[in-house]
Amino acid sequence: MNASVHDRIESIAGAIALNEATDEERREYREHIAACAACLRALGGEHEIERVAQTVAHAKESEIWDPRLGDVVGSRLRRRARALRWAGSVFGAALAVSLGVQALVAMGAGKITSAPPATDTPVTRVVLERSVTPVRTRVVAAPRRLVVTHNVVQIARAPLSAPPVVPPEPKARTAPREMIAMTVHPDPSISETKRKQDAPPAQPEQTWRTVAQTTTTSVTETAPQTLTHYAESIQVSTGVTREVAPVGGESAISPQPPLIAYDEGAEGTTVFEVRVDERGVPTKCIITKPAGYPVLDESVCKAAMKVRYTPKMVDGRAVPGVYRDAFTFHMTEQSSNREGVQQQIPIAGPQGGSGSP
Amino acid sequence: MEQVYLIATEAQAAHARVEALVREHQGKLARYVRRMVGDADLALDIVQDVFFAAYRTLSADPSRELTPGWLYKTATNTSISFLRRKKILRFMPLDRDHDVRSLRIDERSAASLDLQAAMRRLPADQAAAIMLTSYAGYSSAEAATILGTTADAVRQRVCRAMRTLRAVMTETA
Repeated sequence: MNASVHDRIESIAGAIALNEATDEERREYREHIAACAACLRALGGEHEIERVAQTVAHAKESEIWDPRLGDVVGSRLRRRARALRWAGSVFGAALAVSLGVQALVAMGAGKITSAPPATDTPVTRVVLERSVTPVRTRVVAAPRRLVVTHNVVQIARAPLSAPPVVPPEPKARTAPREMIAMTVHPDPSISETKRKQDAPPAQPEQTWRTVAQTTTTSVTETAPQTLTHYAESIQVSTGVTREVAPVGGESAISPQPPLIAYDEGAEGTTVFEVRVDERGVPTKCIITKPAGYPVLDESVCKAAMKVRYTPKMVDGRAVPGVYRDAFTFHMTEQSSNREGVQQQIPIAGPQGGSGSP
Repeated sequence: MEQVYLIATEAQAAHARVEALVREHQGKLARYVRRMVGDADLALDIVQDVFFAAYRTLSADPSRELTPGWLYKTATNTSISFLRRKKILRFMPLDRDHDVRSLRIDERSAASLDLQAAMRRLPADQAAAIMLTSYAGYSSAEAATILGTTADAVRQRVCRAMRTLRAVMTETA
């Protein structure tokens, strides 16, 4: 049997699998496999082909994965703009270094003096003298770290009393600082009371309350100063239980801000909520209170959309729910072992910036 | 100034048209690519690349009409490029467990697993042929247009892919 006949039979078998074969082609196939045991073994009869083809249909029907991509073009354009900015800053830094080196050379790193010409020989000797001793510059700067503080946050939806007016104290720039982790969650009693008093609120207005404090500590003998951190929302408490929680605990959400966040000294608190469907799959991430730096907000949402959640249960049945949380990003010049600090991402300083806190 | 305004308007129009394409085809295209490459995250990256390529095409030529076939063609070519690279880069995780993890628990039916196991063994052209026809629902002639070949060639590839799938089903039975 030549190859062209087998190719033809394979083509007909493919047509049978795709339900495109004509009656004539089916008859031709039946007649061939009746005479060709090899084709019958390899390809099977018509019913066998259709049975295997059904497997693909079954697999397709069983699929439930339905991802939502969001604004693909917008996110790609923003990513491209960030990359261009990054490349521009790298190019600018390289250019500055190059110009600096050239300026150093031009200012007299090498001074050329010529020896007086000898009368008996026309050869001119050129002597190269170094007039400037090489200076080894070394930039000494404290290694910086970005502290990501994980807040357990529930945004108070009901109108609350006006936030207490606390005069902001000037932040000490010189003293080493450290942020105490905020563990915060809503005070249901206040929310319920206010909801009853103000019912029916046409459009509940979000009011923010002062919630947590950060204190400064010093590793030296200087007097510790106290700073008040005006992180929005919420009520300090412990033992919070959630209807929707990340699988693996809250630490499963691990934002990784890009390097540009360090360069810009990005700090702030990102409050966000994640819509979770009944399967525990995050469907949408909404920044309810941006940190002021889109890179921080994006890193939080990216991390939040990566994890799976235990869905909200109502009457033993999983229903869609919302997970609310917040992260505070804070630049510090001191490592910290305080409880509640989730991550410390070192920046390579002159000493290498080791990763251990 | 007027020209700048026109360019901005065209970019916005292209953006809006791509958004409409995304809304309509994102799920089907992502599932198709995931079957091709066997990894959900990678599939999402590829599909985003496809839609961004659509945006660039529409920005460059606003009069152009992009059909679903164009999306599948771009997605297929990108996936095939990846599969060919993957054959070279053997250090990437290619075990079956990795593939299964890209499916959700309720998608791990026997048929789904058989298909995924067979997909791993198929050459890229056969995988594209069977996915475009049996999975994405194109006829052999339409798939031939997308793949740049003949309908007979597509049918042959489908036949050979079905033979592999049958062997996998016999092994697992």
